[in-house]
Amino acid sequence: MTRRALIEVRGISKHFGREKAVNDVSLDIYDKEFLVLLGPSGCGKTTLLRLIGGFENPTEGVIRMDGRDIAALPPNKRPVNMVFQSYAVFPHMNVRDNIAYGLRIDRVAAPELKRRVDEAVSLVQLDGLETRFSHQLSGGQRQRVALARALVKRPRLLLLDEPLSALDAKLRETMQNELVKLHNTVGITFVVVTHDQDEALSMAERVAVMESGGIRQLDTPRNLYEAPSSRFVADFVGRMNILPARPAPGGDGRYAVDGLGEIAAASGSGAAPASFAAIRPEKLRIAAPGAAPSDAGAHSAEAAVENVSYYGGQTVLSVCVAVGVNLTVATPNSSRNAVAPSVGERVTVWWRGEDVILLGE
Amino acid sequence: MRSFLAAFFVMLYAPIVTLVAFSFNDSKRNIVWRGFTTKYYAKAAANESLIEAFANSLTIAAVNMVASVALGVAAAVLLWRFRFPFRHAADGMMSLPIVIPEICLGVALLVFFNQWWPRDLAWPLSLGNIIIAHITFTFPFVAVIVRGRLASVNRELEKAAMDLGASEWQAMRDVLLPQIRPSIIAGALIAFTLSLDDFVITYFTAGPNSITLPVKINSMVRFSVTPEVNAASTVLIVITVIAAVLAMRFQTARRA
Repeated sequence: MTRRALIEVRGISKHFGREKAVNDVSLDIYDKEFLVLLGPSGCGKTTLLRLIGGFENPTEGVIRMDGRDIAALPPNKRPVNMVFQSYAVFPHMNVRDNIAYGLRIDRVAAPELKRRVDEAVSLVQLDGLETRFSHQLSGGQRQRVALARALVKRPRLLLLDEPLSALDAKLRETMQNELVKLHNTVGITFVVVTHDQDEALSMAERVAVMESGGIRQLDTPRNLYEAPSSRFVADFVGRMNILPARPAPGGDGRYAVDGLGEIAAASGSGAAPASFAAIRPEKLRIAAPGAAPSDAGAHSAEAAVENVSYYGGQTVLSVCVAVGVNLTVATPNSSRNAVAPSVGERVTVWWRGEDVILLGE
Repeated sequence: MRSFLAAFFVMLYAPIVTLVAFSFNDSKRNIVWRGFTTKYYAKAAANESLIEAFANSLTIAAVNMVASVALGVAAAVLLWRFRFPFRHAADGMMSLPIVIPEICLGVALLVFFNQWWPRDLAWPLSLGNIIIAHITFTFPFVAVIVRGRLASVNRELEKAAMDLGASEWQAMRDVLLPQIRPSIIAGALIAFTLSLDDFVITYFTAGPNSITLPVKINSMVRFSVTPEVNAASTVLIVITVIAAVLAMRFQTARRA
């Protein structure tokens, strides 16, 4: 499916002195999509967001919106609005005046202003709090004010800088769902910056994983998780067992991996020549030595349990399959009576050949 | 502990209380209490040169307040907003007039103005050099107070305003200014007070036709400390205390 690009970023760079915060990034942001920029701190994701928002001038490159170059436009001239990390709710204005601010600047006539503000207030469910001030609001409510204040301007593109990082864990989950719902309701393109991969995977239609100023992979959450294209992405997104792989002596695309034995390069499992083999912890199965679990794959290895961590929903084991080679195994506690192996016990680890991913450097 | 505190306050305020009390004393000398009167206030009010000095002082303080606020707020906002080479040096240099001994600044200004400041200017231009001198030592106070407030202002507020369509000026007017307004008012009142009761620097820069109230009081005391001096001093005290109390109130005002 080809989609229309709202924003085309072409070869954009931003240097701060000698530091290249964003380095030659090209990216299409589709109309009405929910895109997440994900990466560790200092990877340039916020700078990229600020470049799109107009708060930074690019050192090089072009940003087009609907085919028009907007790189030189200041933020107040772009049909783009931003929700800041601190929410930046004006402390001397009440909720209503905060939301109305952008419309007053645009000299929107009073009846229309009132109608649009009312609409925005009920869109983010702030009804009844219109006369409150920032210090009388909770973190989640402040975020709603920031959202309403941006959305009332009817932007083509809404930028959100770490929108949930200031909220506690429970509220964060609720707001994730609300943001997705809001996105579906208003039909505006959302670009969200986050360092939280769960947040990225659960909200986004597409995720751009960034590292040291560049985009390493731009893909759907599912592809990002199940088919990472590089070692960095595999390691950064979710938990992953990554083992060094060498071409097997026999050739024909087979690799020797310490602890896993010889594996074949499954179709579509990534780069060739590969240097690493990777498998997700939840795709490994544990059974008593010799016994195969019902959903086991075709491959197995003998192992000794070295560590057991209980997380409630799942139990995570560290098992040793060869000298110096440990695998992390996540087993769901799908029954109240599920019993995890204990430390020192010998077990067999099972997996399917197609779940092993081969990665380049 | 209590008696210590009491002694402390007596030490602090006994001289001032005495000064104010004796301004109401019905006697030519400040030694014995002879009964209550306000005639020395009337006498002071009738003293033309004293009133002229008082008018000079108020004019200087008012002009100084406006200029110091303009300079001080601009300096504070620039230092807060921008990063530039020698920013910290500029920051330190700006507050130097606060710590330089007043007497030195007074001598420096005397030498400075002696070089080129024209004499025999018409009022209020004749006060110009005193005003300039006062601005040099009061605007750093305004800058320091405003910067203290700016330190707690969220830098994203202005950006958010601009994101919502405001120009830089609109963002400053609608968002930054309301945040720092209490500190601006506090700074203005402090600049006014400092200027009104400054003696040392004014003494060095004032000409024979531009006497201020503190300088005038000083010259009156040379002959004798009459209750008239007490009355003039009391008026000065009342004005400065009111301004200082207001300044403190604005400085500690809570954000809305």
